[in-house]
Amino acid sequence: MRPLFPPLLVRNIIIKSRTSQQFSRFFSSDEISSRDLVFKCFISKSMDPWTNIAFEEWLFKDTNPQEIILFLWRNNSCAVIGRNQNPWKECNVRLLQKHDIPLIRRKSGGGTVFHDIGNTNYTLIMPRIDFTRKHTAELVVRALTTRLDIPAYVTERHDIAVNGLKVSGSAFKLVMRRAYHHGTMLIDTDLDRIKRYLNVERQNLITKGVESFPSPVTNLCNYSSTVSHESFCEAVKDYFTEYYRDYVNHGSNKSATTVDEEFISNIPKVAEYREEFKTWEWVYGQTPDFTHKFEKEFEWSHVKALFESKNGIITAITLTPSNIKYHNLINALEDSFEGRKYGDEKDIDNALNDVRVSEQLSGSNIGGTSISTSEMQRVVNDIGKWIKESS
Amino acid sequence: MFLRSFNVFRVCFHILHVLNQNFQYFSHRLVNNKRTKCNSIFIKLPTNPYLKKFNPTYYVRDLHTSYPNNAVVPFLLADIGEGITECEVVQWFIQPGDNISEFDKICEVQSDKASVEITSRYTGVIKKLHYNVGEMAKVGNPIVDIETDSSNELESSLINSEVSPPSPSAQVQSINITEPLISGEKTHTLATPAVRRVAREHNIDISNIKGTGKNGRITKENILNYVAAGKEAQPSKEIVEDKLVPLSFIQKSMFKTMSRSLKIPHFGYSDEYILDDIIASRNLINDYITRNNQFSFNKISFMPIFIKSFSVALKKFPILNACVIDDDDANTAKLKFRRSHNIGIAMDTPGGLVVPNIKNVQAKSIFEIASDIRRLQEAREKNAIPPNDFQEGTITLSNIGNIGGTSLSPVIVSSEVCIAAIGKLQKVPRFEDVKDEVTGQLVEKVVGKHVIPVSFSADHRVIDGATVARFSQEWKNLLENPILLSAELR
Repeated sequence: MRPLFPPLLVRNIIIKSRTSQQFSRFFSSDEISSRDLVFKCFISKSMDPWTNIAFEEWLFKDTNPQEIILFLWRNNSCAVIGRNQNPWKECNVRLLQKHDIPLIRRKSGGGTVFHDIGNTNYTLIMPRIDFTRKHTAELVVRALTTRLDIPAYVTERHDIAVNGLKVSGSAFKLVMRRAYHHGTMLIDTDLDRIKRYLNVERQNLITKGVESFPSPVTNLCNYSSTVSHESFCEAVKDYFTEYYRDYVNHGSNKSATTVDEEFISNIPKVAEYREEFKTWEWVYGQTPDFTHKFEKEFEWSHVKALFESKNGIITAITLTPSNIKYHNLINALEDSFEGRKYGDEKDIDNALNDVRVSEQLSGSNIGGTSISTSEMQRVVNDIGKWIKESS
Repeated sequence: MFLRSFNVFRVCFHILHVLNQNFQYFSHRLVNNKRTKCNSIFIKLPTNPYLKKFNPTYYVRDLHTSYPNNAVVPFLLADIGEGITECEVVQWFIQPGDNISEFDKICEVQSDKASVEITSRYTGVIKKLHYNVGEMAKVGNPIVDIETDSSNELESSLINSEVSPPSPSAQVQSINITEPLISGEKTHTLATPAVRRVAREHNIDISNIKGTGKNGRITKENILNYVAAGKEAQPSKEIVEDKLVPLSFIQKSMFKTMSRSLKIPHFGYSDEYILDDIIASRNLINDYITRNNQFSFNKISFMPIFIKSFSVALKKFPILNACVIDDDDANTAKLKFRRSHNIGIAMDTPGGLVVPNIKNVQAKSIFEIASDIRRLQEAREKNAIPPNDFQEGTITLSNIGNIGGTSLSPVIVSSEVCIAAIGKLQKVPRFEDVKDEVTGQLVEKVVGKHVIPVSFSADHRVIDGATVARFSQEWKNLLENPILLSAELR
């Protein structure tokens, strides 16, 4: 929905005209306008990614839709994928697990980002009828340009860039009465780490869902010596408070509410959302359908694998060895893998164990072709290791 | 002073802005002109404290229109803004058979960066989901079908009489008897218990019968007439109520192809052909057929002769058998000249218009063409024309003469550049120079001639009027002088 007359223009008139003194004699109004909009600002002291994203969800779902909310937060290292993305395609899941870096799926759309404490996130929540992408991005840019002297601008994809390099990516979510725009802001992030964790070569993984749109990035600290998480929060908070000053509750003393563990512990819903964001069903189970092909030359045979997955579970797997001798063993492995969680090391181990056990019971003789136990073990181990590496 | 009027101006502008937003949000319903249930329209006035005098609270106006009883309403995917035309369905929150109320979540769709929850505008039961998870849903197309409640009907029937186009009698009637105008199984029909018993005995639903008694009462005669009419098995095509009927398969296909054909600039050309000689020739051919039993048909119509002579004339004007390729831009457009004349004939089937074609007419004799037509007609009766016959047509000949018509304006098939349509053969008076028996001189007399009107439409991007005119003259020549057809034999 494109407003006929951008509210920005209307606002400029208010800021420029100095008629408030003159007209307050005729019409006095100290109370909030009759549309009942209220502007609130929250700054988070917590750096736990789950907590922050759960709190953002609470702000979006469980507060009054007439509130315009600005929420500023930052996380310890974590990778965040979009609502409808494939984690195995977007980031190096194995490496993230190895380094104990959380993987989070957010509820808005868009691409994959990597957070660390050099990256500040902002969320702007407002009634749906007032929402346009360009407007919200524009406000953040003005905060940067007017208060921090950074020459930022809004790109055509509604991202924020400086000097041709992206500093902020954004995503949106719209429900019936409300919408939000949230984005990252690279202040002083380790860009190499981003590359390392988000760089994945999976050409043979074909998936539905949204793919990320990689662009070259830069840090804000390259353009200003005074910028930091604190100064960025301060600048954005001041700019927005000024912009929405008609809706600010002048009664309260503080301009922004500090959100810390104590504050959050008083809201049980946040803990609920936090648990939901952590479940396997949400993070991996919401993956759209995909197929993954890979092959390898073993000493004993050349094997091709084709995985099909729905909701993160392997629905079908086809292993094609070039050597028929292992055909039956391979079939048993296929059956065992079906229904397991994709990419889950424990499940893969379980699948392999099942096959080993059934083999030993049947005396390594499935369907006639006899294979020695050691051979069977070798094949099963090789395949297990290979699948763990590739998926 | 100036500032105050300026602020008033801003208020007006703001109202327009909000109305524009509302219009965009509900516009698909207004445009579609269906009788649908709207949300309330919220008119928000600006929040400027200077204008507190003009600043009421939310101003809400409820708009109710009604829709037919128990209708299955397709719920269209509304414009989600930012110029997005399609988005992926990520999650369904409901299943077919679920009850749903207004404002309940239906599904979540995702465009490039935005994840949008779609909420229902209707209350009812979900009938059908149009997309699976992972498919791309198009904005403006239906995403679910909802069977709406009938209970909404009666309460808004009084308001309905304002909203629907009023005619004086209808309005008077609507005040007295609202029900018969809005029909449905649950409406209250006027009939005495005796009449109802008769209806029950005959196993008729009494609400289907139109009453002719006092105040619209259904009488015994009405029922008996209805039964008699039913026995004659005459399906009444009369519309008793407004109905929402989706397009049939053939209609849909016609819709699509004709929408495509729209982009071709058509020009028309009409002429009259005198067919006396052809009629005589055809009679000779039919005699020959009845004498020799080697054919699958007993006689031929004019169509095989028309088609063959059409093809012979087409040899001299190959451009009419071409098609335009890459026609998005004049610089890339090309003409593909096609060797074979696959002439399409428009056929009227019970399901609608279909256009199968006869392949390679240039290499077939009139008899072969006639047997092809016979085969297509038989297939048409069984609704079993093979898809191959619909493909690769190069030019079309449409004969509406058996139904009637003189001046026609056919629409070119989108993969062709020309179409011809033939009207009804009629005997009309014409002037002719006839040799007078007595004087031996040529005298102008009025004679009766069998005349058939022919109309052409051609693609004016690649064909000019003169080409079509010359082609028509050539075809006319062949038809008016059938011996020339044999002169073209190889």
